[in-house]
Amino acid sequence: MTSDRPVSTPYTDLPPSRYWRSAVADRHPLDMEDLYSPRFPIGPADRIAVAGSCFAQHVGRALKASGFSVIDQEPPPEDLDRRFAETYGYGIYSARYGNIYTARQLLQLLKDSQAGTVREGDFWTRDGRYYDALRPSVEPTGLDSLAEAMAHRSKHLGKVRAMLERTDIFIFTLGLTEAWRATGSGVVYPTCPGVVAGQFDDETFAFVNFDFVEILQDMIEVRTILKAINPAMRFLFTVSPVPLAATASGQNVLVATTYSKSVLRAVCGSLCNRFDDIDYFPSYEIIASPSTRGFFYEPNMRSVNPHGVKHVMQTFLKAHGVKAGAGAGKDGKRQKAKGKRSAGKSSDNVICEEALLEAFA
Amino acid sequence: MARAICVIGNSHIGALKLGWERLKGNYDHQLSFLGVPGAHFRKLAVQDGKVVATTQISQRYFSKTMDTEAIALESYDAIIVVAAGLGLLKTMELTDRWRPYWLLDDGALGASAEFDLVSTKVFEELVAAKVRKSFAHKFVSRISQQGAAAVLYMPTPLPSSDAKLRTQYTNPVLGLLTGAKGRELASVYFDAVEKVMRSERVMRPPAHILVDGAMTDSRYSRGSVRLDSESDHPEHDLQHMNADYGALILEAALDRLAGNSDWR
Repeated sequence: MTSDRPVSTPYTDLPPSRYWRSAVADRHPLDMEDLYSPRFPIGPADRIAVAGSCFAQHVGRALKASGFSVIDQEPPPEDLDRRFAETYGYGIYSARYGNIYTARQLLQLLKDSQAGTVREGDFWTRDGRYYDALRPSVEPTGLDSLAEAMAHRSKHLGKVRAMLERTDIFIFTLGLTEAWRATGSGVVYPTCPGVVAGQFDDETFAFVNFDFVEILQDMIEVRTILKAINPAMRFLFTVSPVPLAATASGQNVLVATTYSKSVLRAVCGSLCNRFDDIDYFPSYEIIASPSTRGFFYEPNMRSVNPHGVKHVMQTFLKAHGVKAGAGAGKDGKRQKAKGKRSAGKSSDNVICEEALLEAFA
Repeated sequence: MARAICVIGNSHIGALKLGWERLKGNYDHQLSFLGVPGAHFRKLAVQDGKVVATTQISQRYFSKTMDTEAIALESYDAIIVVAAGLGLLKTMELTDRWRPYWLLDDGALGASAEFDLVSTKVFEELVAAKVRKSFAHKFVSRISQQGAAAVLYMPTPLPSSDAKLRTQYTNPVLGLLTGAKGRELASVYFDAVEKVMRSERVMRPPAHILVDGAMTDSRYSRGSVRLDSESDHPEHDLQHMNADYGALILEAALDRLAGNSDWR
């Protein structure tokens, strides 16, 4: 027996954005709706700290250009050429910590900054020069001595501490699950020893591929530390849509990438479900969705092209009621000028030591 | 062979002019001196192959020191630019905030210390950026672009070693210069000037007139003259040099130019 009465289910009367066909398949990828509804507003008065993997560099630049108060706790000297400054890690993130690819790396930085911990073992050498293994890209030619390198790190940690004390919104882009750690100290590094500096030795360093539980625990601890500094701090997490340059997992790099991004995305979802002060912005979905057919990627199918970056940031800014490049922050005039320079920026300008692994392909 | 040389500079040109009075019997060259002191030097412009004054005051200095209204660059075999407002003390004021590790004392190493630590590479580039932005660099570049056959830049003299007699410094850079790292600081400065203005155009002060590689021997500053002063050398003036200095540095410049293939 059938009934003419329509059956009511949880799927009845859902808006078009909840159905794949109407939300994705039948829409142009530049014209999708309801991809992101901010959990809390972010305004020009909120002091924002930005950190994360390479893709986070775009986020910081776009926010600055659009008038948000992005903290720069270690700004470059005023007269320094911008490109030179960026090569030395200035003006990329809210302090000169370089790319932070993993949750564990972020957690280490927060703990080290709070305790002022500088470990001698975290400095590697190459050609007689000393490199901070926790941010090897910020001094591309290294430093003269271990003492100097340790002094730089100590200063940097002080800056990170000061940055966190000013932060209202902490934006973090999770990039990788894979990392290399020192077997003795357990410290995790952003690059494999031997890529930028140092020497690989399988007794001293071990590969680690963090799983969901480990990353979730790390991120919860990150939140706890940051909340202790500023109980009102809120968080915006994203997942980098940039695939792995290489994997040491023993799997095909595509499979390893899917694992990595899936775990990171799942952690973000879990964090959002647990905490009201954590929001997730779907930059990963915007770039990597099947609907875009890869057209937001450069021909290497890895780097996100300027159109992709622009679209991601426009989606973010539109959701927050801000026009891209509006430059209307506290420091509006200067930010607008910087924004001008940022317009049309190629993805080539992103400082990404992970990409160095391609040289080993 | 007799050459026509124009020496253009700020107050530091006085020492060279007096030095030339001692030297000119040994040379067939014709030297002309244009002195425009202090901030008025920035009111000189280089246009249509000429150095001209753009204000009444700078015009007055043209008349007073050279008895002309403009310097046609093509009339000279070489132009020597003196100081032109670029100096180590002013440039290194950046050390008020930015310092490389080797310029910190132990007490400044804590995270709360007042200085921002930069690597030597960044520090060197920062000093070079200051030089690049200077009027002196722009002036020298324009002169060479607009027809001067040969251009030589003489940096502002390093401060007198009398600075070491002082126990307190109103200028912190002077304190650094007289300290253990003065030589390194001076070296970074001159390297930057040479990098930006091209080393073949820059006359470093001869090593033998320096004390600790960072100060000019006080023998060359006592009794110094300034372009705009008839009075004796003021005791507090550590910047200006005397005729001995002028003669010595000018002689070195003429030797350098004699080996320059750009002489007409």
